[in-house]
Amino acid sequence: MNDVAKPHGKSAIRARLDAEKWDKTYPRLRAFAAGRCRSDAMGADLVNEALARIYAPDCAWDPAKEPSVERYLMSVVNSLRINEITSAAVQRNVHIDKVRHAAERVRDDAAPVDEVLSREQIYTRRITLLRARLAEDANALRVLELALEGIDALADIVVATGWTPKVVAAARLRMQRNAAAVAREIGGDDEIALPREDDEDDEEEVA
Amino acid sequence: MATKRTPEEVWKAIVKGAEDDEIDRVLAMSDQEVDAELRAHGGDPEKIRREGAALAAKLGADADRLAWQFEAAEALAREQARLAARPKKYDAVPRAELEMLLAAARTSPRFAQPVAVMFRNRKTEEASDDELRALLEEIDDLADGNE
Repeated sequence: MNDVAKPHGKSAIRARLDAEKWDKTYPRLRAFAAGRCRSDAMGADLVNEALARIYAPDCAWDPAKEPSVERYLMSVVNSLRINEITSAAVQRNVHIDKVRHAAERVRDDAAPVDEVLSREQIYTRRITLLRARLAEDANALRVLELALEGIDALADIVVATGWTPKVVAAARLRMQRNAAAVAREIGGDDEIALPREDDEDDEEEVA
Repeated sequence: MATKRTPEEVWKAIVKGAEDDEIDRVLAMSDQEVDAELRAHGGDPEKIRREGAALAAKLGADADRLAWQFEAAEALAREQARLAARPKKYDAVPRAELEMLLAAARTSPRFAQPVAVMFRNRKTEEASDDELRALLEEIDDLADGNE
């Protein structure tokens, strides 16, 4: 084990943690977590657990891969949140009723609705529904089409579309919110990782 | 060159993008905006600031206190890995010969004590063939000067 991976003693990680201004970092983490959980109390639990993990001997943080403590801890909060939800709810499979309800809106005779869908079918259905939801939003639909081609970095989308970064960010946010709506509609754990439609600061920029 | 993704890959990219965007949004906030966000969720920024500093100090102190456990576990893992990497001399040796070799080790002034420790709670005949082989490997390791 190299020094960077050892969080104790005089290791690089421990030195980084000791140098961190927690009176500034911690409130930002709490703001992030409260937003994800929509509850300060729940968010606090996740942030405290994330901090306990980064100080633990078997801490998984690799500063070479993610130099920012804040960004790393926020990703841990995200993981904890997802784990919390998925372990609490038995929603790993998409149930027939939800799928049938969704399928009625976008017809696809190839999609079986008389059984729990396979993983591949679930994702195909999600993308189909997302496309349908974005039919009236050309920019967001274009962002989705680019994602299908493997282009989803903001800078790459700017180049591919010729739009401003602000327009791209707004279109992507609308696409993400519609993805959240699809996840909510047909079930799945990803919904909690996606922005909600009723979030504030919705950008309605168009190209 | 971009390649066509599967629906699952696209969906996961969308989710990952949303997570990254939200992290970027919060990281870009000013301290005042962070405070406002905390208040919007019913939090007290000043109290939270104090909690953060206190928690980090406590976790650091706990880590220092328990550091020896981590170091001991690491040392044990290193030792086990080193032993596991040794060439296996006894894989094809039959049990009778393994027992003879161990009996010889018991009479050696150098190895009698460590072998006695290895068998302090059990008899040789209670050990499996693999356990006897592992013990002989350890004795060889001691003989090589790895005390």
